[in-house]
Amino acid sequence: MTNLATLIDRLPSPQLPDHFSEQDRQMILLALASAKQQISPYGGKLEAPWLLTLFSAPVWETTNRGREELIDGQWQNTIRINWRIMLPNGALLTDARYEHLLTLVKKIAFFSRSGLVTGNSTPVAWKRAIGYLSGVIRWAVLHEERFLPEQYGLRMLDQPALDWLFSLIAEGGWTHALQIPQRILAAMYLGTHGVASPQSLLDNPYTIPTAEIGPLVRWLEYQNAYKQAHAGAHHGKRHLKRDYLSRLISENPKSLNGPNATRFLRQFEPDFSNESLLVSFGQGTEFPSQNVKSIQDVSCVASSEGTVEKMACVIATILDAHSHVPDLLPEPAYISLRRATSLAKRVAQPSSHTLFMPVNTGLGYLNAAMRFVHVYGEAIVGFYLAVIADYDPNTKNPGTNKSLDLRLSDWCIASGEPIAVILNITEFRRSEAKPDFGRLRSNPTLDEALRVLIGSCISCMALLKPSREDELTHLKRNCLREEAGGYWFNFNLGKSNAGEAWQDEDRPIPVIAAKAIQLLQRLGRGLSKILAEDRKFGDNLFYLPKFEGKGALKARMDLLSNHLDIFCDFVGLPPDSVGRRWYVRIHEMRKWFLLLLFWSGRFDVLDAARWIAGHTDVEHIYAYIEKEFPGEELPQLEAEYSIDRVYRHERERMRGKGDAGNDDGVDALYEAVLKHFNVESLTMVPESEWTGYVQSLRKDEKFRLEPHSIFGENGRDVVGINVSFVMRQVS
Amino acid sequence: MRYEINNQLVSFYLDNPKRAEEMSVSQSFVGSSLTEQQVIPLAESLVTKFRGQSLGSQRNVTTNFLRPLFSYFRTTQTLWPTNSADWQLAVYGFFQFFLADTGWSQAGTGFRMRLWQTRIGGLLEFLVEDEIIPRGVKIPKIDQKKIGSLARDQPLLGQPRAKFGDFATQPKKLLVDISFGMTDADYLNSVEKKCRHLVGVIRDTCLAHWDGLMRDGATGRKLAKQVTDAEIEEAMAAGRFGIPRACGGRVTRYASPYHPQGHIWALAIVRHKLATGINIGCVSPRTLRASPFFRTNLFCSENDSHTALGALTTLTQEQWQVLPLAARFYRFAGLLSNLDVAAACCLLTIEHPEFTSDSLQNVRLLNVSGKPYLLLTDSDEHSILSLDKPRAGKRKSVVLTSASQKLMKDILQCTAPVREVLRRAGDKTWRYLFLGVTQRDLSNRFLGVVEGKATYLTSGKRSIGLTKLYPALSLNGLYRGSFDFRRLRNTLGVIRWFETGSILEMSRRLGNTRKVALEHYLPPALLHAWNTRIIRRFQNTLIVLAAHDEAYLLEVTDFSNMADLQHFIAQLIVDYPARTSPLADEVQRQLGTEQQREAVSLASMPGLLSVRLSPNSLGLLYSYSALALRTLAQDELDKVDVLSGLAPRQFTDMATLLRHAAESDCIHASLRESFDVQLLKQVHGEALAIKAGLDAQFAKLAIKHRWAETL
Repeated sequence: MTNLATLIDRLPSPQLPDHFSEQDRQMILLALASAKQQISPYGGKLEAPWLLTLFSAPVWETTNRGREELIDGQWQNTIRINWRIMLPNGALLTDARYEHLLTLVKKIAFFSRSGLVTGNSTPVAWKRAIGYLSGVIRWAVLHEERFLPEQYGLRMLDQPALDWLFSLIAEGGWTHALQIPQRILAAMYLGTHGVASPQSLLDNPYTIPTAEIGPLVRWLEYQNAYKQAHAGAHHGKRHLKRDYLSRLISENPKSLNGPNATRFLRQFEPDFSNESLLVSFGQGTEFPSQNVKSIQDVSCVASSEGTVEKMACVIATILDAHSHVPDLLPEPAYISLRRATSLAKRVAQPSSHTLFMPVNTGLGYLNAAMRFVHVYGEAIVGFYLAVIADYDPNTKNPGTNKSLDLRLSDWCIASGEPIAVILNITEFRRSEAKPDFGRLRSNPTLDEALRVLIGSCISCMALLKPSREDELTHLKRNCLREEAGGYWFNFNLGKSNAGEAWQDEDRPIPVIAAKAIQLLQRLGRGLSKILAEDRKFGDNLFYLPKFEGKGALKARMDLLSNHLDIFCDFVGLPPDSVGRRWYVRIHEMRKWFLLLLFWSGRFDVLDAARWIAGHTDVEHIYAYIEKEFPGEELPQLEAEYSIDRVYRHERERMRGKGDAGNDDGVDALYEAVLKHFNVESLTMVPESEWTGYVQSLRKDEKFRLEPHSIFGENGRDVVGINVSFVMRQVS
Repeated sequence: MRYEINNQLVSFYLDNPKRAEEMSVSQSFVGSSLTEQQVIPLAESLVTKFRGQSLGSQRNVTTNFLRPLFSYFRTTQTLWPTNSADWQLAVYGFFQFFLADTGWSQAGTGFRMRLWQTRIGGLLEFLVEDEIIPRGVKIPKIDQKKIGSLARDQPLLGQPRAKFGDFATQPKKLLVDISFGMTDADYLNSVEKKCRHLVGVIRDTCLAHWDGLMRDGATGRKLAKQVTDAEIEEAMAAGRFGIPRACGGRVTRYASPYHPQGHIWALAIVRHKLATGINIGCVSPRTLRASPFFRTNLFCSENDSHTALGALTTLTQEQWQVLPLAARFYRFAGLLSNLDVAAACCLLTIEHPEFTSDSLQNVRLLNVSGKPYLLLTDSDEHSILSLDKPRAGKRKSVVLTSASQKLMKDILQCTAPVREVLRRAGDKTWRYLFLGVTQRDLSNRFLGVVEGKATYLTSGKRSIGLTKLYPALSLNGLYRGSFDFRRLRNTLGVIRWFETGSILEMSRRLGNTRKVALEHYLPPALLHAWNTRIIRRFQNTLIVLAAHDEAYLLEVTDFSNMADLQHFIAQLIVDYPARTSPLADEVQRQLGTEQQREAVSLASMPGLLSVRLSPNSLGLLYSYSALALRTLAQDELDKVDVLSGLAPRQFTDMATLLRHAAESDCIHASLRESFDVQLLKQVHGEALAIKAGLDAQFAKLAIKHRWAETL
């Protein structure tokens, strides 16, 4: 096969008609030259401004929206890709025998980040896509006798192979595709009994007979595979070491984190046997969060359509790269991605939606947050800065330091009362392995009070101005503006970027949110001075002290969530019927604000909602509006909510709990959907089809949502809020 | 949309709800190496893509895409590619063919490039998505701006610059310039005022023009009456077309400007010709010149025109001089010109912004089967006009306002004779509403459809527009480039938006779907200011709800004093009626009192207010109203008192209503029924006297300190 680049080079110049003017000729020739360049395989050097290390390096350091910096010869805050990927056969991707494969994967990564092939090139999304790519590689190696990746790269991935992979992903995610439970079980069985596991066990890894479990657990104990949770709500309970297990089967430890893997491993963790929820053994909060599923819910866990679509994007990237690396990739002309995707979508379930936080939960958190910011904020920050200044972690008992005792009554709130008295603060920090959440509320340490305050600041900002987690985490300290009779908040849009450039935006915020920002500014400025900070993130708004010792927390993904958790435990809302508490998240607050705004103003505020949600550049609103349909996600919200409700209704019905005095009309909608597809249950219908149908019903206004209150027994007190589905002659 | 392939001919049957019979377009691939099996998936994919799109888009599938594509395969004898490398080469080959080949199209390079950029490139990308073209095949893109500018940087001698669309500047869509920097409230206020002012200027100008036109037309009719048709026919029968001159020689023709009653005869003859004419040129200058009644050089110079009309016109002499000689005459003959129609269209747009100028200019009075689109109902109170709105693809109907109803009657009256001529002439344009003298070329004017295009608003090179006649327009910044129907409509939309604060309402007013309203009709600065307002209000709503029981409520909101906060809360209770949203219930539960809830529920129902007509109560009301209007600022007038739930405005409005009812002679019947007008008028006089007394008393009231007495 002749190289495409050579073929393109050999293309003759066009014969332009004589009557074309000189200018037209020039324009056409330029267009053709540019087109040739666009379609030619990449022949340049494998170097790029975003790639901070050599292409050949086993670990890539890449830029991270300008947050990366070189400190003492080490790159920090980069988007890092470690190519030493553990393969199922025990080898590493960086081993010499996989040179072809490694170069192929690196090239695909390089092209997609450089925008030469399709795929998201924003750093975080790019890294996620590489995670999927590595999954494909591991899967190919898992079946290396069929795909011969060592020799042919991914070229043997033909249509049947893709159909198969997509179905596996849809059935149970990567855990299922990479046969994680089966591989662990096989290894354990072989270790325990010295013979291969019977096929019957491997076929049903999630329901291993109790008789089989005992010997396996004893073998695991003998292998020293257990350890005790050293912190958090499950302190002292024994759980399996994920690292050990992943080494046992030559897997990435992260592959053992999914719900399916956890569900499998729970069978061998007797300390957790009485948990009906799929709790994390490292749970740092008082209760599991609202998002934790019950083991029963996960029991038929199929992947979401979103996962299948992401998978399709990654395969599209791989196929797209074919023109650049034709020898190691399959011929795209013989592959239909659509076929593989639609096969998989028959199995997959609809993507889960962010839960909608109850109105009262949000208002309750907002009030608590405002109290902390407005009433206690100044005093806590002042107190903390004064104490941390001469805090020495190396003293014998750093928790109760002298300066705290000296200053206990120095810092007062506006009424004149010392903050230490109001909140009953007696210590600076306390180290306890098993956290006492009652004491967090009745006798918090100064450090905990500060964390609650930080959580309050985050809540104030995020509940009153819908934000994306990334936008808040990396805010700069000087993000506050005051003009035109109000406060504004300047941030980098988390989306809507072009290449490696990001836009910044101003949005209105109320005074209380400005106050929250000012507190964080004061804390950060004071702290960075005390710590003599010279790193880039020293300018961040969320420049927060470490939980232990003297230092600052890095701007990692969980920075804000950790503080929100402490805040929510401090507020201490009661848990739900299965023992979960609502631990508020940035994207939930975002949804809460937008949905309520939309609900209360409907289409009159649609555009304002789109705008505050950060879907546009303030300087180019007009151009933006013309280009994109505004508020794409907003008209969707009600349909989404309806789908959510129909879905829940179906699940409740399947568990036999449905029709329990449910008069909100969701059953009517549900029946209408069933009738439309002429089925008994929605499981018979591909999810995308029925959700699409609900959306179209909503779009055609065949039903509408009518939120209303539920009244208590006395007929007066409102005890809750319900949303009715009012149907209108559905055919 | 569906397709058929027969004998290497692809035919697409197009979706068109308006079609009378099946519409199809087709393209043949005879002569190419393509087989039916290869074309089928392509055709299927195209159907998927274009199903439900506009007729033009559906049609363009063949003209813009299949024609060059099949032509490419035919000319180059390329085979349908089977692998991605072949596809890549074929796509490039097609790109080159599309730009450079003159066999499939004679279009210029700029046009081809734009077509690729806007249509073909995207369509090919879609085919990649649809797996007709394999993934990984790159579709060449044209950054026309870049290529254009590169080419322009190297121009050769004697070559004019190529014209490209200006990408940098957005089309200006508002009549007003929007400036930043004012506070929100002032800013919105000023924008609204300016919009209203400009629309007012346009309305006044056009009304003045139309009234003048009608009066001149009436004058013309009156003049023409002085010569009857019988006299004309008699003169024609007798072959006597003029009166002998005193000094002898040729006769002075009856319709000659030199004949003392020349203009009267001329108008009468035109009336006669309109009544009997059977072709569209029956009153054209050429016909008139050929008529023995007229001079052969009619309208050629000032002396050959009927200057007597100049003294009778309602136009000023400056305006009269601007009009072309023929136009001056036709004005009195009651025939509409483009200019007149432009003014009428402005007025109709102002009254009914839901009609686009395009649809107004193409408005037909009767449909093919003779069914009227304009329904004048018996009561004379409502007429219904329905128009085709081209982009929306359906008819829009509105009930005409009384102003436009009067206008419509005028139009019907002065187009009736022309309509008859066209009918007799078998001209199918007789169904259109706007008929008059077309200005197809200056020397000869035919009867037909007159179009009040935007160029007749602002004067073009060869046309006279309203701005030339009425300097008030230009003085207000309404001139070429800033005054057209689109801007007028948009401005009306913004005004409407100010009235309701609702985009939905505005889009209803403009007769558009919501999407169009958002994309095209809101000026960005206005949107920004308004969105800020909505968001700030909502943020404070949440804060009030969260902290309503707390001592620090005032401090955590954006308000600085209790009165403002209470004012805001009072608004919330009204703005969020119970059971409309989860938040509304929360508002009512936490903020509303039983009493307020009742008030709210009452307010939403139409109620009856009983007013006791005593001189004293009215006098107090008048006095209070005058005092409030004099001393309170606009926003203070609207401030709702928390205890009573009432605002001063309610009293001032009631006072105004009662005064109007008492002082005005024409009150609507329904209002007359509600008021005991007889008694009201009687009491009103006494009340005014009492008010004067009260005012005098109030004026005297003052706080005095008498130091001397206390010492």
